[in-house]
Amino acid sequence: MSSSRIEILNDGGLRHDARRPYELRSTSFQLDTHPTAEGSSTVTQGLTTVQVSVFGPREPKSRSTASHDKAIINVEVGVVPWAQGGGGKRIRGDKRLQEIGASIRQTFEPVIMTHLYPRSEIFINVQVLSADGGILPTAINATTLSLISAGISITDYVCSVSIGLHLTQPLLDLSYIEENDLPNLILASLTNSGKITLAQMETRLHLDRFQEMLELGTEACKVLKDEMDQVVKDNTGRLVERMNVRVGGGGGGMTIDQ
Amino acid sequence: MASAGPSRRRSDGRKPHEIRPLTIEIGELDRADGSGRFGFGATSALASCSGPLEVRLNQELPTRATLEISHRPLEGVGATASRALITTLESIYPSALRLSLYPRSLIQIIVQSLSSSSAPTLSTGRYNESPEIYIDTEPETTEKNVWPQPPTQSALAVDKKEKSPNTSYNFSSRAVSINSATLAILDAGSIAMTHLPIAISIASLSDDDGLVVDPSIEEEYNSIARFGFAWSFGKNVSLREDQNQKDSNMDVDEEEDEEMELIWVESEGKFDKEKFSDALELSKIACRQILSEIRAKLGETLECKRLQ
Amino acid sequence: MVREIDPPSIQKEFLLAALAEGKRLDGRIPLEQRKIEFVFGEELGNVECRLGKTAVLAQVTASIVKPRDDRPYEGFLLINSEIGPMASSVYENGRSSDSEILITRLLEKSIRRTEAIDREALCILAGGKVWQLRLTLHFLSDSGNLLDCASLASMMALKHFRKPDVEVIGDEVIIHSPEERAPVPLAMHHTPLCLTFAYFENLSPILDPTHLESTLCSGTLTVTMNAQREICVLSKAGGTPLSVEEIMGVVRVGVDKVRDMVKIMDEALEKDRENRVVEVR
Repeated sequence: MSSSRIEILNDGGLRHDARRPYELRSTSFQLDTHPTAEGSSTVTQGLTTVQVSVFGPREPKSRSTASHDKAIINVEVGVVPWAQGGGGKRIRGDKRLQEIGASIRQTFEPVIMTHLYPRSEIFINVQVLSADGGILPTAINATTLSLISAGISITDYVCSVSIGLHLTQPLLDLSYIEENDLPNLILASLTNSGKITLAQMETRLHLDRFQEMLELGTEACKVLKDEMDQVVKDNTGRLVERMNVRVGGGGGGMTIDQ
Repeated sequence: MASAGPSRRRSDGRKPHEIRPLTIEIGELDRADGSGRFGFGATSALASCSGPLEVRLNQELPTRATLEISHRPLEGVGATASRALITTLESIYPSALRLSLYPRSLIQIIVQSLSSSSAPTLSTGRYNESPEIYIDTEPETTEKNVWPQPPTQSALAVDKKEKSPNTSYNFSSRAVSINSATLAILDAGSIAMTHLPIAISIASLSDDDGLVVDPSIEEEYNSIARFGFAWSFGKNVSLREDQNQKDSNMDVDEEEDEEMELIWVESEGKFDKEKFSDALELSKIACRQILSEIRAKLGETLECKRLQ
Repeated sequence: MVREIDPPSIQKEFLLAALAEGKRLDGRIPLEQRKIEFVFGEELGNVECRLGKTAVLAQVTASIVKPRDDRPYEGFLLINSEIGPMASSVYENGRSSDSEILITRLLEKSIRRTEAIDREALCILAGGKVWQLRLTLHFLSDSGNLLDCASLASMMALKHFRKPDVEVIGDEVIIHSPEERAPVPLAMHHTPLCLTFAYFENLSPILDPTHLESTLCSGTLTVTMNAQREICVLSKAGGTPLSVEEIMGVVRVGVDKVRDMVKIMDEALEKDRENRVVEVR
């Protein structure tokens, strides 16, 4: 409503940043970007960059919250003051950030095999380094990679994407401007089963369009998963290669299935 | 007793010493150990009581239970008026409950006001459906008026007064809060009590006129003096551990009644000693009457539970 | 801090076994809501909504304030929704738990962001005076599904409320007291209502979970819809993963339910209107 001067989709069928409707923004996935965390990653989607560090499984900071048969997951979300608009608008403890944190926690609780780590805590720290729409999807993707990098058992890749709707045309992976102007849906899905674990929408939308967006989103998640999987495999491949050099021959005791 | 002839009628058709129809409901909230709704006519409050519960470590008391009393106003969030009401409740209940029986635990009492905290829109009863409206375009001009306006307050100045939403609670709101909390504790049944505090408000409409029991909002608004009394009912009340629990801002001779004792007095406005003792006597009768209503209702509720 | 006690496993097994047969402990069928009841207060805009044993009290008040400089034509709608210990001892005063944030955020989204209230209609004098509505929610009893109950209570209170009639002569604003002119209802675009479904592993979803059901379920999905077949808010965070068809199934159920709920609301309003004198003339 506020900035309707921007043309969401021009006559040539291009969006304001010259993408086609179903085109994702350029992505970059980096693993192990934090010096001390068990696992970490920095994910960039377009101009949104999120760094996620995973600490643990470790002894819980407060005993009273520990559970005897599973690990507890704590998520903290922070935004650097210069991430958006330069005016540290979002401070720690903001309800929106707390909500993002709660969503991440609830998304990963059924995916992480928490029963393998009883009496412990897995701490996920999300830092938004620059924000141009789609903080939650990027954070979820980064969390998946960080958990993999930390070696924590998860049942499936969780990939997430935002989907908007311009008139009747669905758009994928919205930027900040589009996010503000369009009804949008944030989706996270387990890519192997194609099932949806998180769905959030907060603007009015007619029922008939909704299904189309859901289906499109699950497809997009699969594309993202392939990209992420490639990064993980490259990383692991490189590691194995190095181990082989040092140990000599195939005695590294580790194989990856192709 | 009162000087007014009992034949005189009040603006809402009541006799001077007549209480508005009471609302007494017990145990309507599912998740609290006990709850009670008490109302004098349209003025009502809902209270819940839970306990003994697990207490936060830094609030834990080794010799007795921590009593946590909170209050929520109907609109907005609690402010000074709310705080004042809590202080009143905090002066009454620690002595009524045997907290020393439950060391290292928490007892929660929450009172929710169900009627508006501020004064009525205009001092008539013609349209009590009217929504609560106040204007705060110029907050700096809002007078920080203490609720009881000087008795000379004319109806014309009333408009001005509405502008301050943070007036303190009127006496009938305070009385229903106390009574509902008592109901909630009774319903919970999990906390031993030494006596039952029951409150009533009384107002004096003019110098020569008599006193009215349980004044309506507009009566209280136009009165020259207002009183709030709470009496404690119980067998051998005086034998309880701490004797001096009355929170009176007046020097009152405590009634050494066997089964009722004055536990709370607050008064405002202009009155003489005679009027005060009249009010005191009236409040005794009114509280007894309320007690018997509560007894009847409680008996009914327990009977229902027994049959189930 | 009072912690929630996990229900005994025998209770859990019983509930799951019953659900597997399509039965619920309170005798409802899976996609049935508890009984909705409205109790109207003395004032307009004061409504207590009960959904089974869950109870929420909503109160709407209005005041006149200056609008924001960048939006001179828009009034305000403030929502106060703090969950206190009266609802259940797990909620604390002044300390918001995760579940509380989710409830208040979702309410905010479904009432404010969906533009249920026409805020431009709250304007009295452009750039000078606008109405500010304050919706205060009191969560009285949390017997499961506070959110649906709160959204019903809020929408009902907003529908029930009437603001005094105002007249603008030049720069002067005259507020008519209710006995001069009948107060006017708020302009509303639509009636968004929340519906919460709970999921259990390998079982079909249930509508309107009770407290026990919501502690035992593996996840919930909340959808806010209106009678015009529009989805306003959808929120499913974690829990059992669902396929597209499963989500669509739930949403389609929601369409009919919301229509029924709006009907119940209108009937209750109609009944209240008969007992209440708003027109004074």
